[in-house]
Amino acid sequence: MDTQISIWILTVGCLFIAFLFRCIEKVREEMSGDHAMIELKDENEIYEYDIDDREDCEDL
Amino acid sequence: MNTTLMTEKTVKTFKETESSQAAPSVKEACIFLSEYAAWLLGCGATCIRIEKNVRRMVHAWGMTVEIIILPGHIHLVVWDGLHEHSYSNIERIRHTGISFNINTRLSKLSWAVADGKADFDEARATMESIVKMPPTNPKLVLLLASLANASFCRLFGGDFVSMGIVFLATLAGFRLKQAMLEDGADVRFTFFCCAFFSSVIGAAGYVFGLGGTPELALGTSVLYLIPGIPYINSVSDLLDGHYISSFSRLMNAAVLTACLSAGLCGGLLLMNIQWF
Repeated sequence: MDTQISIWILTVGCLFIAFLFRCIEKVREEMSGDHAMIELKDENEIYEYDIDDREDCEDL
Repeated sequence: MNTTLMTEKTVKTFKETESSQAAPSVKEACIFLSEYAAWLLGCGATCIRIEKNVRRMVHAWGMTVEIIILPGHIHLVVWDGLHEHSYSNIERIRHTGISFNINTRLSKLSWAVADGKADFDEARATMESIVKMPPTNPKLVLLLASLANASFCRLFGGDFVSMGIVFLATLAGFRLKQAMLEDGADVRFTFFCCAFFSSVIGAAGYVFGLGGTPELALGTSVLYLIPGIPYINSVSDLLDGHYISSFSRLMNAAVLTACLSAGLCGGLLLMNIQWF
């Protein structure tokens, strides 16, 4: 029972810490201005295929 | 190949109505309609809806159309009224999440064109504005999905403590799903992780002895991940004879369900819960 509780707390704790780190990273990106660059990059990402494929097609 | 022929050889004189005066060229119509169909397919419309909407608009412009709907592409051939000239185009499906909002608005647009309320230029501008609409507020979706899943738990006979556990499990799992998909993670891996964490949180009833229906909390904590729309659309396409699309949607949904199940099993194994 104690082991079960420990594993539960550890797993949920890891998830919570992952969320926290992601949140901190997002705030840092916004403050550094990288956020706008990422938005610009994702603006036209309406297709699933990789950007390399698109670049190859443009050469034809 | 499952080719859907929608040709109606209606050799009639072109009516000099307001809408036909504003009718596009065959090329313009084909490009517009193939983009339109690609957006509809991407936002989760069934094949019959795509066919009917496209056909409705094409008839309003005095043209005919043949459409091939494949899992990843739309192939459209538009003929002029006298069946002398045609233009064909292939469009890739748009990578967009399922959106009933876009689906409904695009369908309304087809009726507006058919009823003569919108000419071609207006239709094109309207479609541009529809597809550029921002998605529903993610925080609102997160909250409503969590409440809905908690309601499912109640529906199956869960008590309020189990509902609370399911609410929290869904909140965490759905937020994780949003974050992982936003970061470009593979959708199957995302489903696995979300199911895993949701089932671990959902097992709180067993771990801490909370509530009287811990099995319902655990079982319903992953329901938000079930790909219901692809399953329903698959059946709809099957009934309308679009077997390739139907099978594709069914396989896609089955793979996601398998990933969900694997995540749930992983959670059960980790928490050492004997389900059977």
